[in-house]
Amino acid sequence: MLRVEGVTKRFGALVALDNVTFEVNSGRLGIIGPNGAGKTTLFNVISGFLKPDSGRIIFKGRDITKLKPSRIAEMGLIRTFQILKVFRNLTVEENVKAVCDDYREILEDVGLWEKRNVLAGNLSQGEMRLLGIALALSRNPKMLLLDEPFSGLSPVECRSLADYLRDLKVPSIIIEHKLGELFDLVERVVVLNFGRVIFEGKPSEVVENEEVVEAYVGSS
Amino acid sequence: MRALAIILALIPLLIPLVAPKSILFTIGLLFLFVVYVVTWDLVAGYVGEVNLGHVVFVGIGAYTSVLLTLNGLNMWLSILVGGMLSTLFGLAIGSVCLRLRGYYLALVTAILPLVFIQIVNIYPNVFGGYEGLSVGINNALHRTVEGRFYISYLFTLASLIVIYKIVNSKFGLRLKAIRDDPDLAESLGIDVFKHKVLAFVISAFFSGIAGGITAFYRLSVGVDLFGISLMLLIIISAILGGLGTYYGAIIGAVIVYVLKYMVLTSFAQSLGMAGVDDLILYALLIVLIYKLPKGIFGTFYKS
Ligand SMILES: Nc1ncnc2c1ncn2[C@@H]1O[C@H](COP(=O)(O)OP(=O)(O)O)[C@@H](O)[C@H]1O
Ligand SMILES: [Mg+2]
Repeated sequence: MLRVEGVTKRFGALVALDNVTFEVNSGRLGIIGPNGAGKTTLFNVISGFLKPDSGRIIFKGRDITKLKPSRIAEMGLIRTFQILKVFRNLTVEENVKAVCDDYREILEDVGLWEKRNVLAGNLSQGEMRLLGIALALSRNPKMLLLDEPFSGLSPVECRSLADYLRDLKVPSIIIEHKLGELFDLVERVVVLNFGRVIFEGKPSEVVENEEVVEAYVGSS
Repeated sequence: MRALAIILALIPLLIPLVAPKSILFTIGLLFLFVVYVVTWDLVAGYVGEVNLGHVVFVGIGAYTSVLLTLNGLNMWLSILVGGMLSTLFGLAIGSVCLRLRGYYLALVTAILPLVFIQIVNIYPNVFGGYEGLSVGINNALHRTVEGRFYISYLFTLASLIVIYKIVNSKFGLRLKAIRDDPDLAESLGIDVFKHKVLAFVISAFFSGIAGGITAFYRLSVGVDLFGISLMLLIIISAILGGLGTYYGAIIGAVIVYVLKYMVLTSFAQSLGMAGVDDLILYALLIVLIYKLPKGIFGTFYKS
């Protein structure tokens, strides 16, 4: 369904993504890697916010590399943001209404229905995170890209979001540094370091891989 | 709020019964000023893009319609063509300046009024130079002041209803979403560029028509319709009322127009110091930005 082919992205001298290739067809893929590894940049490239210096993004058999973000979203490939993003001066209900018509079910699903008349800017961090995910879901996505969906959530919120995502049948790519939550959710993991894919495999294999452990702990 | 608005909207119909002609004339112009402000706010308040050349839409509508009418075209048709020319101009400016994030629109539109004033002065035998062009009572909206007042009122009411429908539609909600966070909007499939251009073009159309109506209302067209002084009045009104609140733009426009043309101008004349009225208004703008950044409506009315 989604294929990332040899994507390279430079910021001046910095190579943020270095010939990254992988594929997701169904199920959930986790992406991990130390801070600055290029994970968010990868999402920015896939979703059309940044154009790669080389390489291609293929979604549902179509080259989407040159499309603008809203076109890619219309095709059903929806991303969320690592930094909290909601429409702050709109109410929770209006946030979702701006995107789709049957907002009630979605708000009930993520547990924000009671807060529907609250200005989104007045929500707690955890609630904003949930609203961000509700917005992505309201587009009825064919594939979801979630950038650190668990950050800023309380343990209770984490658990209910994890349950919710597990029941969701939408293929997803999830960036997360809370490895416990992530490894319970995903079938495969890609590890990025300095913009390169250094590992791809099952969650259980990741922790045994020397290069990955080194990237995280640092070698001497 | 809505019931109150409807009652308030009907009151002006009684004004011709009580007000002297000179006041009536000014109030009719005030209505059109309300349209300038509400259409500016559609872009500034709802989309978050600052158009410093909004008066150019008004001016294009006014000059085009007057020139066409003076050359024999039907007045109403001329006004419509003026509005359409203004729309095309908005489309051209919008498609170039709204593509990129940042202050491009404000930068480009800031010089537009000056460019148009220059053009008017370079070709005085076409545009009438500084004096402008007069329309002649035979070409007026209506021969009587009362008739023109009612036409101005009806046009303003119709424009306000249409803009109300727009800002309260799904499209309007998306504009507010874009104002809050364009990246988030874009990521959810909202084409930010197209929405901005469409809002800009709607603003251009209604202000262009308003410009044409203004010319045939006051029976003249001149560079004051392109003027920076008018532009500032529009901005002060929208900020005073509250950006992006719809009613705020209307309330602000009424207060500022009454203040300027019914209080401060005569005050300045009584002092014998022309320009003092504008200085007071600019001082008001600066105080407002610090003390009442959300405007009257945004501060005192919580939805
Ligand atoms: N727009 C940008 N301009 C310049 N450098 C950037 C930009 N975005 C990210 N970077 C740099 O690219 C590297 C990867 O960043 P990012 O993708 O955010 O990492 P991660 O999400 O894995 O923590 C970092 O060194 C970051 O500073
Ligand atoms: Mg990141």
